[in-house]
Amino acid sequence: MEHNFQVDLRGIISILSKHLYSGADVFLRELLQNAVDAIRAREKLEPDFKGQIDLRLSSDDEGLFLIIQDNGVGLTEAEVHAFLATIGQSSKRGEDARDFIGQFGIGLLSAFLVADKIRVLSRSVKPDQPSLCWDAEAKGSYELRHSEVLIDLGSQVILRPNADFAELFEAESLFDLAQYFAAFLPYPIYLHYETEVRHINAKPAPWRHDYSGETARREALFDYGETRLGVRPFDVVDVKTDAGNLDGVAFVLPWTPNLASKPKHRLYIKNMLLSDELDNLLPDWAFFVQCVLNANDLHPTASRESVVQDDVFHTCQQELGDVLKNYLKGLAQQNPQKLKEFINLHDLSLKSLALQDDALFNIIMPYLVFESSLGRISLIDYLQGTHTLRYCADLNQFRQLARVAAAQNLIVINAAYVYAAELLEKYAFLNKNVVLERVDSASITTSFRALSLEEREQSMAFWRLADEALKPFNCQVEMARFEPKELPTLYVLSEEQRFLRSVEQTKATVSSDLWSGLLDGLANQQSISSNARLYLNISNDLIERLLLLREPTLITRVCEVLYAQALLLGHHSLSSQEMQLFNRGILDLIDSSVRAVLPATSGGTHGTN
Amino acid sequence: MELTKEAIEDLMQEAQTMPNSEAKLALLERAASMADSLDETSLGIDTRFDLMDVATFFGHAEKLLVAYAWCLARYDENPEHFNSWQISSLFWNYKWILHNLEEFPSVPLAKVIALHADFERRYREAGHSERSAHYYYMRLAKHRGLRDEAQKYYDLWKASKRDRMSDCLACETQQAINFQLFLNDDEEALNVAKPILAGKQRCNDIPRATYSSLLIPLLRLGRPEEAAKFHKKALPMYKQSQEDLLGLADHLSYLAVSKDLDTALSLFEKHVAWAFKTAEINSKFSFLLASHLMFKRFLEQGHRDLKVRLPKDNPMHKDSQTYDLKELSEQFSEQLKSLAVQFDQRNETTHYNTTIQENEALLERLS
Repeated sequence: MEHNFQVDLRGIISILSKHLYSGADVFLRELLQNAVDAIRAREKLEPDFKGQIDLRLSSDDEGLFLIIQDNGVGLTEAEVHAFLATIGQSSKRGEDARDFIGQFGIGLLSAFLVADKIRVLSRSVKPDQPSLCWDAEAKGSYELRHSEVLIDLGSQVILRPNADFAELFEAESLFDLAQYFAAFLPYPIYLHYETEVRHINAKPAPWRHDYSGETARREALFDYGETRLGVRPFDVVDVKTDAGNLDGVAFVLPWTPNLASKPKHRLYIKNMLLSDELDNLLPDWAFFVQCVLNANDLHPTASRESVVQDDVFHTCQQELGDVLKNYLKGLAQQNPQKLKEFINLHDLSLKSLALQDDALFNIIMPYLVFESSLGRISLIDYLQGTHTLRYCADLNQFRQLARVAAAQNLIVINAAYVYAAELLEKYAFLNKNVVLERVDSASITTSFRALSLEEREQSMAFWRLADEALKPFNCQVEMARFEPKELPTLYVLSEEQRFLRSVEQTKATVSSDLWSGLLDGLANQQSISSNARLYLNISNDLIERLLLLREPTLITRVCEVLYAQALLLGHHSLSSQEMQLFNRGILDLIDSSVRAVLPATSGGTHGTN
Repeated sequence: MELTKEAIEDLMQEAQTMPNSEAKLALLERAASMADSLDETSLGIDTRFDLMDVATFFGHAEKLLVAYAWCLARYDENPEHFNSWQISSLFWNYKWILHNLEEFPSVPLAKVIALHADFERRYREAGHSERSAHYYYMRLAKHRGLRDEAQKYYDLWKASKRDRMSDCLACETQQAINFQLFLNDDEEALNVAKPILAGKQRCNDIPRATYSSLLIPLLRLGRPEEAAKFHKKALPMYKQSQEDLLGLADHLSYLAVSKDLDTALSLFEKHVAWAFKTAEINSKFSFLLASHLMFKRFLEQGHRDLKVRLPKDNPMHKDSQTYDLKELSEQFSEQLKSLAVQFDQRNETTHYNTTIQENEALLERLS
């Protein structure tokens, strides 16, 4: 024996309110949407017909009530049973489904979010149809009868709000709410309250309005932007796409947005507000604009608060990207000064975009300024005298190299900033005559001059002891001549070595065999030694003098201090052991210097405990 | 930069405004280093959590492992150092560790297995579902090419309860797709992929990873138009090499097999530098495998020389940028074999060697 599913209407309403709709306000949007759909259906039958929607706020002995009236196609008796009361069915499916976005018959149920009783009065425009009165209660029952009174063609939905929602039904709130959703709907909507009649959607969308001229138009759009952003926008871009049949405006933000809080866009679908918080419609680099858009051909999700990410959506997204790219190209051509200001504000967006789009990359690159060892410089200036783009992507190394590079008359770009290295790499990729040279402390040492045989002989004794001194730190001592003379030492550690050190340093804090073993495994992947190198510059006066030292303890102290100093200068961090030795070394040296000056005391020896 | 707590916090704040990048990693590493110098355990933990988030999703699993080892050691010393969110993250991130062990063939098998067991024990003691443990045993078996073991853990995984430590639905579906592909069942893989392809499941990496993983399977099934669609949709979703070299390798293979050699070469040039630089050896292997496929295709089409841009510091680099294809192809082949040996020795199976052979056969199969 077959049964039918019993539906608990209250249960469904509860699901709707908790899981589908973001709030009870949406009831107004849903009912307005039904009204719009009914009007459109009548337009198909009567092309010259003029639709209109009236909201009438009133009260009687039973209390406050709201009538949402449309002069649309209305409902026949059969249609009432089929569409109003069969959950899940909709008058708007079938071939005409595309015309109406009210594809989900649950829209009417949303009225139960705010009211326990709904009454629908309706008379269909089809010939010889009766006036109908449909009363429904949230507990799940409904009654349908013929109305003795002749009802206007179209439908009227009458709601009596629950106590919880009485505030929504105040004239002011209702006006604001209706305007929020329906400001751009193409059929006049009036709110009637007491003796007042207010036109909710009196003004068309600001970008569609007819203005006296281009200047007036831009003024008006900037004003509109100010109401949306709270501040005057940096610029306004007209937006139009084929996919999704979209029109609207994009306001360029006059502040630098934070990656963590990207702007949210306002989207209307077929002129009804879908969402004020859409954040996925524009390409991910386009976080320098906040938009107000209307799409006739994007598809809303069931809650009608978001958009389905289907093929149309993706094509539309690409076209939106093109609109913004064309805007930037336009700026470059017609207003380079403004483009510079734009770059200052939206540096990251632009760099991200440039990495993804070759055409824009070529347009923007000349305007980008980089930090270098000789100050801020644009690529054009940099490449004036050379084909070789030298850059260092590691901040620590850059700092060390900057002085050495300057002394060698080389300009090294500081590419430790976000996207900087990638932009340079792309530039070299697209401009084949430019050679990209990644500079690190290891590569810069290739220009160092080795010692002559004689110099080697003389410094061998010191060298050996120095090497011993720094063995515990996994550091080799090298000697060379390099510029600038004022730089006594240069500490060289490649990226791979730095990683190996981090593995060693971490391992020292890990007591578990399992994890020590893992770290060992990681270290073994590398085939290089983790030895760092400390270059002593024999062009430097101090180093020259040090080479004459022979006393092992003194040499050890001196080397420990020079080593630690080189690390500090390179902004490397010292382990606590290195820190201790550094401190001890300094104190010892102070002690030695002081003893050398003071009269000799009995039993004094070099060094401290 | 002074060595103070405030300076460290400033670095962390600055890092938070940055997109995933080498620069962001460098900043966070410096911050962690400074915290260590100051003996500030709390800040050491904070900086490392931020660092792990970037390292995992930006091609630096080796840095993830180091940072995690440190954090776990601190946790075992004294859990009080961690707030409840951090403890949750510590458990969650252990999954990333297991996920990425396959990138490092120099970690001995005994350690890999012991880590899986350690993970299982910790999850059990914390009252989390055994689902995650089964999941990673399955992945390990797949990595080693052990069908029966993989099937055993797949069944255990499916039968166990989801909890808040389980991957999101989209990721789990992708794992199921990967399992079917491992069993060489392309039809079933596409079947399993339905909820993702219908747009019902998505997350950070899905559907990008899904589209990429189904490119060659669709070609094998004789459905090239769909493969082309997926390729067109997914490739623009990859911005930088470090994000997912494995996914990019899928696209390179697809382009090689589809004989779109211009695009293939362009893709190769864009990402080859990272393929050689990365410490993630499995990702490197996959990209070199796809590259080799491309070279074979070129040879097949009758090319002798190839004008291609290899990174300057690459040992095979020539200033003329013109390479003898046969020679280049053999050099890549050698690299592949040597990497396969590393994996197979560690895994005590021959799966990686088999993978190379199957890759060679792909062109004949899909000419």
